Amino acid sequence: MIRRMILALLALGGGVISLYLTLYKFGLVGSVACGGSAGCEVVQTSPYALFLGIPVPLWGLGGYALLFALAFATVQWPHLAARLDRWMVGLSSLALLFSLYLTALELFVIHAICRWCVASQVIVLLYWAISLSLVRNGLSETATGPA
Amino acid sequence: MKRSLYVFYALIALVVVGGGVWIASSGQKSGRSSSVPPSSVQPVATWKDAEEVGMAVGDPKAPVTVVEFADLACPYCAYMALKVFPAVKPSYIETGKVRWIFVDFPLPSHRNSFTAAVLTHCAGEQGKYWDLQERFFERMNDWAHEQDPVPALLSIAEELNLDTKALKACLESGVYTDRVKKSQQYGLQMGIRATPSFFINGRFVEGAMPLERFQALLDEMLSGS
Repeated sequence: MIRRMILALLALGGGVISLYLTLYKFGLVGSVACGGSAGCEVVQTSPYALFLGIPVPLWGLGGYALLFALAFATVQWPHLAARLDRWMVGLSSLALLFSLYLTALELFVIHAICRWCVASQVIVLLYWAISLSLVRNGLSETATGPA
Repeated sequence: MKRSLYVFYALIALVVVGGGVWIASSGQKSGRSSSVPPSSVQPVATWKDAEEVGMAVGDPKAPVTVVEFADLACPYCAYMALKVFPAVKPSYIETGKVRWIFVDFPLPSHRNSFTAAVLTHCAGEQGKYWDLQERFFERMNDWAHEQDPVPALLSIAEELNLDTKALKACLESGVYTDRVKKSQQYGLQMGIRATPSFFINGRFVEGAMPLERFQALLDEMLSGS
């Protein structure tokens, strides 16, 4: 149960970061100057800041909302956990792949690292690892459980 | 179990409230104004030294002097150059009210802006410093992220009918490299840490801002001068 709570809190934290980056992208928060935002302005103003025409932080916001909803549901209604754990792994695997793609862009194409993007990528990695451990535990419990 | 749920709900509330406070406290900071830059570096030069390193336009005896520190790969500088400067030029600069000094401040995070700055000075030899600067701002996405920006920059220069062979030779000779380095050094001495940054008759302003706010600042300076 504790791990599921951690998952929900991680997703919520990621959602806050994504919301900040979305507002930053639309010029509603942060300094409208270059050089004072730990590389975020370089990343956010690059042509890669849009994915399928939608700002990348908005994708993050939507993704974290889903990840939070899944983790929260498993805490609130434990009988759904076995089914939802697989969804959490599946969705966070997609998020992890997307994060790796964004990290590669930052390192090798844009040549700038935004610290808030890195924080989000670490959250996705932790979420994925914890949700995977839940599924693996569930599988081993099923395998060793009473026949 | 119930207790841990309460702790969980409390932590959710904490993240939501804490996140909200954090986002609200980092609210819009465009055009922050103060008497000195918010840098740990104490200015060791004065804004009037900008005449020696920058490119100036306007009457030297104008009552208001704007010193702008800008990076050619910074989109906020592009906003000021393409939206604010062209509107300020006819009503303030050409009427003798304002002198504008542009100082190159290529940021380390923008790896191609130094080369672009050098090229604008090379274009100055052909009388097209401001034209090329404007075009570089407009077409930033074509060169700012390139591994080797020179072909893209020269191709943009060619559109302005500049002699690109002469530009390339000028770039390779390094004749303006020291000048851009000097202006960069001057910015550091002035405590600049981000672009665009301005000194308007000595008052420090950091960040881009809409035309109306910039005009209001100029009017305030003019009424006080």
